[in-house]
Amino acid sequence: MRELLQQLWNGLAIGSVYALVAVGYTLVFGVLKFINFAHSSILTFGAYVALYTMLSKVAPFPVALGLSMVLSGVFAMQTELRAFRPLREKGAPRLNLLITSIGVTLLVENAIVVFVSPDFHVFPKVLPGTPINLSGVVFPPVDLLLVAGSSILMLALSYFVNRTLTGLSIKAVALDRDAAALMGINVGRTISITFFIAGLMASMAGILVGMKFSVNPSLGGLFGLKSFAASVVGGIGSVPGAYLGGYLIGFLETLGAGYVSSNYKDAIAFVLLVLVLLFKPSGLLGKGTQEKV
Amino acid sequence: MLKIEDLNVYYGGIHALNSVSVDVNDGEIVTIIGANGAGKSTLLRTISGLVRARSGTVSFNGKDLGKMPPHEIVALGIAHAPEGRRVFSELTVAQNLRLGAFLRTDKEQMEQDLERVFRIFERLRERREQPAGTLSGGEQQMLCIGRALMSKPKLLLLDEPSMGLAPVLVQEIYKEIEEIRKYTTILLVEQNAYQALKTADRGYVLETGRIVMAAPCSELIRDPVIKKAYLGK
Repeated sequence: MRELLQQLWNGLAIGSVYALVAVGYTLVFGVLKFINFAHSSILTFGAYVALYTMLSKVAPFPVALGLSMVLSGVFAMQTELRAFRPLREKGAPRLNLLITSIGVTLLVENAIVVFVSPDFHVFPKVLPGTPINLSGVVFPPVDLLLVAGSSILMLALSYFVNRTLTGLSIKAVALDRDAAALMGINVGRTISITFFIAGLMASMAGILVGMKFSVNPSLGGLFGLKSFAASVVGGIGSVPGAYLGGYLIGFLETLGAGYVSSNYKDAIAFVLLVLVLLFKPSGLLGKGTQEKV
Repeated sequence: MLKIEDLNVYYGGIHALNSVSVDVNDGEIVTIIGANGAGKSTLLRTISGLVRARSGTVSFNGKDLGKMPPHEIVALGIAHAPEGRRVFSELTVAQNLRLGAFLRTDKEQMEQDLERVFRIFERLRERREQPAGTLSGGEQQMLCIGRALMSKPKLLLLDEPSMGLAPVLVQEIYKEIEEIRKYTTILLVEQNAYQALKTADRGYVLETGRIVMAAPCSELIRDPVIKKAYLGK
């Protein structure tokens, strides 16, 4: 029982990471209808910004966290403005956007290797060191921060998307870009805002994963891919779906590692992806898409 | 108020609009009739900035719309109820109408305009919390027009409001258009030439991208060529 509770907690913590990142894939897919593989590099970028802010000791952790989130949001926005928007304006097919996004990821990873450092970095200790122990179940401080931080961000995002006019305009752009423009919505700006939010959330995930494990140039790679799997499992385009997919993969992965074999840990997300695509291709909470004429 | 001069629009290699000139004066209903594929929707989409012209000018109260993005054109006071309704199907009727007033900040006036839309289209009131995708075709058309009205337009562009609707609903929509003309100038594009000519003040006939005739509707409706080609008589 104690072991199960511990595994569930671990699943919740790592699931929070996947959920935070998955929501970015889903938001961007919503407005642009392509999978932005550059999203995983935002996670890495965010971790490095926070790491170097902390290492240079110019600001306390909360400031480093905030700074990294804002800069990551701006960085995500810039990838869209400089890489994707020119392609869209030239009427390039979506496949070109996809390939470009993979290119952006390679560029970011290698730029970090060349200009920053190829090494693994341990994040400076910023949280009180002793894990909380509740009758045998261990709650490391970084996990608590992860679960709390992601919950707050997710609630804030839900409020923003469902209760504000800007959130409504993101939905409108996702549903019908031309009709949204005819409402007076600045479509370009709305897309920028969407990338900003996606970047902001990915940065939080990147920093906390960096604190939990270590910071390295390919940090975003596997987390990004699993989160992408999570967004598809949940139903790409659906925000609650991304959360569901993220937590589901988090739980199954830790339970699988705990009770089956940790050798298969990284495969579980993708097995789930294949199963969902076989039996419910639109994802658990996704709506079947009809091609519009 | 709207002046279109010598407009040329291409879709790939197709010459969709060929030196089209159209004027709309304040307070009028002007209609453009023509067969499917004549270029009617392209003309409205060019006015709204969704499609760019290769040459020619579109100006609204003296302002050149040629290089403006769609949202700035909406801000000038042009609302477009597009072909095929294009309501946001997963959003509620109320949210669709709210988006219609996206650029407005005058809360009280917006409430009054919302009330006016519900007065014109009573059926939308009962369905305000329903997703737009669950409405019937006629109701979606009402929502599409109501949504455009929510921007408080000086000029309303209506693209085929009768498309795909049962005759009784077409009658109803046109009855409401008579009501709407009290508040705004209208440029109406229609395949249903009879309804359009009965409602509008002046009409243009568009054939494969060219204006072939322009006259008051009372004349067009009696013109033997029009009767034969568009009114089926």
